[in-house]
Amino acid sequence: MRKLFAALCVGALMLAGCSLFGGSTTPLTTQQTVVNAYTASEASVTAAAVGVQKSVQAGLLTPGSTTALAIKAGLDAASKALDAANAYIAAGQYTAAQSQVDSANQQVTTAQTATPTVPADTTTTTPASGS
Amino acid sequence: MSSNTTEKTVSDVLLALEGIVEVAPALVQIISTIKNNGQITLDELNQIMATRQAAVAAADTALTGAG
Repeated sequence: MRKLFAALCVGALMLAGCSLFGGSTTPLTTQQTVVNAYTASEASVTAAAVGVQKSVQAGLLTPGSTTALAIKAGLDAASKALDAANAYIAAGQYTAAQSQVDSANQQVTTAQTATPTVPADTTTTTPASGS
Repeated sequence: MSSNTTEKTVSDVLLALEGIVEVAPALVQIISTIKNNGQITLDELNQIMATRQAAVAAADTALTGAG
């Protein structure tokens, strides 16, 4: 009986946490799911593109190198897939859109894996004069 | 839709978008809209797409050493 009570308490706490931290107990529609997946993928590709630029600027990635061109091909493929996904969403064809999103995610993951990571910003602040 | 599709909640999307705000100020307004409405319009999707296209184009330039 005590174990059952404990299990019920844990379940209640999990549900409460879900509500507090934005989890939803309402099932998403296909449209919502695909649009959200698409939007997140857009953000991933954009972030990857920015990461690539930072990597080049930091001298960790040589422009024109085999690695750089492979990353470029991946980003371009992901970008084209998302263009197609956007068109499918506009046309209400969510299954086709999701397929393109999946393809984009696969491509961008490969590109991100190949991209050297720039160390976190270690900028130091300079104390104000006289302080 | 494929059965192995991972559902992305609004929170997931906001988290992803907020990660790139520093390079895409236009996204701030979009994020605000999503937070208020919990939804995103086609026009906003197009803005996000344009942001991505610009970032990828800039990355292409950097990767090829052009420009």
